[in-house]
Amino acid sequence: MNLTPAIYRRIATLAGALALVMATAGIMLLHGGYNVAATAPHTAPVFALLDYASRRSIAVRARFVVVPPVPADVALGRGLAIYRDHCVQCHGAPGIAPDPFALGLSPAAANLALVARERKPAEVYWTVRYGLKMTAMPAWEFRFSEADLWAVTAFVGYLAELSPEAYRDVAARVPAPRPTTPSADPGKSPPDPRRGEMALHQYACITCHEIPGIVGADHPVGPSLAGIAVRRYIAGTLPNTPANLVAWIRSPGTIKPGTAMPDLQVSERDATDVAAFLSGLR
Amino acid sequence: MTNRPLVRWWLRGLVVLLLGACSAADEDMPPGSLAGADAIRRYGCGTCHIIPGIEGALGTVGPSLAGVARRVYLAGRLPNTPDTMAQWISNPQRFVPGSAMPDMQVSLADARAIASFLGRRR
Repeated sequence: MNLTPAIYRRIATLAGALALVMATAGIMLLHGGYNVAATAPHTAPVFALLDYASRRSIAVRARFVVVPPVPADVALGRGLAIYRDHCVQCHGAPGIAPDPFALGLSPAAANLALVARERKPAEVYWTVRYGLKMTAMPAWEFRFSEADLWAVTAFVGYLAELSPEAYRDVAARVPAPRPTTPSADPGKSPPDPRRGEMALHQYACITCHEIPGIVGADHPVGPSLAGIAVRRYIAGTLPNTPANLVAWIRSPGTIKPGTAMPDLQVSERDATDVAAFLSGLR
Repeated sequence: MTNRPLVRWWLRGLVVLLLGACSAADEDMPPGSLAGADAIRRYGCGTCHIIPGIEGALGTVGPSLAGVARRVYLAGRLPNTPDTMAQWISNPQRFVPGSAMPDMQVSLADARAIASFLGRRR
């Protein structure tokens, strides 16, 4: 191909246009042009794009989920109890509104009776387990066992079949669920630093500590965890051993009464995995 | 090219600006921080703590003091102000009995100077 001056001019024009667009976007960001308020809805094209991206993301990933059989009495027992105690607050239930705080969420939590009709169980399970970034939907993976995740998924499947009356009736009869259970038994698997890294997000450690290697973990509420593996003491009093680190993560208030570090109900396995990750921070 | 000298002129200006910024930062040091650095050396804080700006302060017994002025809490529980920092430095055992941080008999004046030194390094 012959590179004539005309082609050069065209390339220069394109590059100029691109630079202009980027400069405009930069100036808009600098001046706070993007409104993050929950009361400022997306424009129609942005909403359509995000909604489509989210649906596709879930559908593609849920393909690999194998759905186990869940007996009806488990779904309408344990599943319903979990739903009533941990889901109704944002999603509501037949004839029951979400709690007032949840009405201010953007995006608003979906009505799950409709989800039950339109989405596959594997997609519901995937969403419950992993949560949805940039929405208020949390990941429940670190709060409930595999069996519990499936119990509540199976219950969502019944939502569209329950009249408001029927829901009130069954919800009143189901006892409170046992406390949330960790996702796996301790001791059965070796300490897993990659899972520990996830746990640092899932127990919100990143909102108070600087943690090298974790994006967004740069908050100076407590001390930085840089070099924690070679620190002699933790919490100012405990010799830094793996067992002490696990004990401190699980129960800071017992070791140091009055500490600002709260008890985050970290399971033994999760604390062990966190300690495994931290042991790499030299 | 005709604009070569112009580029060189700009670069020279940039270098002068950057150097100026560096020396300006040193002049920004509030009175007392030199005394603070001196006190940190005298009490040997660097044997247990990493302290940016103090040569040889690379201890890993306690937490690093890099950016400690931005920390919300000291000693895991004290809301961090220059005053509480000085109190904590001068009498750690009062706030956390059994703390591995020993009472170094730091006078309150020295503790305030140290807090001031740590306070200007964000």
